[in-house]
Amino acid sequence: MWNKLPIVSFLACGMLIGIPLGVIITNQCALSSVFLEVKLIQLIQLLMTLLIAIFLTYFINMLVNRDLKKSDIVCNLIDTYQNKLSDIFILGESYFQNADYEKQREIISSLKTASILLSIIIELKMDKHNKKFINYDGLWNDFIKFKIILTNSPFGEKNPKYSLEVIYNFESKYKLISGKLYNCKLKLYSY
Amino acid sequence: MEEEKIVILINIAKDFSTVPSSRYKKDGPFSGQEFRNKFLEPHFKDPEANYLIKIILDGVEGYATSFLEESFGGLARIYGKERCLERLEFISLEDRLLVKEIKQYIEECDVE
Repeated sequence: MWNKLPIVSFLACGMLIGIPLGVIITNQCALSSVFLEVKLIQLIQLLMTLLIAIFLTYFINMLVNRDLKKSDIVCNLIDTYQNKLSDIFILGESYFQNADYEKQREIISSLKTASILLSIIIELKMDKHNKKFINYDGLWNDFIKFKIILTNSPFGEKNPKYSLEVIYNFESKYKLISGKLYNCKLKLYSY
Repeated sequence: MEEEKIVILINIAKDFSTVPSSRYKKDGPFSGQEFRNKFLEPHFKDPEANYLIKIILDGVEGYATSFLEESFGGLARIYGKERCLERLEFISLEDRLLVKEIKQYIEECDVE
């Protein structure tokens, strides 16, 4: 809660200074008499202009904030998805070197989480304000290719052997996805 | 009036395993080959049979490509893509992209 005491004190000081100042200005005729001959219509026009300006500022501010909040939500989701993919990448590299059942299960479970996160990101695209020229189908295709490289045969076999080509493809796919995700995040904040 | 289709329900987590593993039986339990042999092929052997097979995919730890490809891509290689896509219905509330992924494995079963 705001502390009201400083505000009330500030207003009281303003009145104490403002009232004598007003009296001095009036008594000394500091203001021209023409200044006080304002027509009612001019006052109404001035008020209307002020009201429209305040309303427009509020409306534009509200729209920008709403759009930014939506972008923040999608960006946070992309961050979480990116972190999950990074975990899977580290697990995958380790599995290629030394495959075991625990790593296998962890990879499968992490891929499921990543897929769920991606499905939420893609569902949010339904909102046209969040579309921002991001190729969501491309994100899904890349994820599936990444998953296929890692978990298609010989994944799960006893003592699987991975060729250098598979390892290279896995690394390049991960780099490609990471680059695309950074690009997505940038696009979310561009107009 | 249209004849009502018989529906077969397969819940992978309850009927098979919560930890489906790899492609072939030789690699260990709960493989794609084992799932296909036990749960899918018996419903496809009769060419006249046209009942709907609903597969609930939720409740498992996750699926490796090798498991999904051998189960459903393998089935499509034996009984044809069209017949598989026509008779199989996949349900997943947890992972909405999983159904799309499986359908891709069926569509591209020749590539394997």
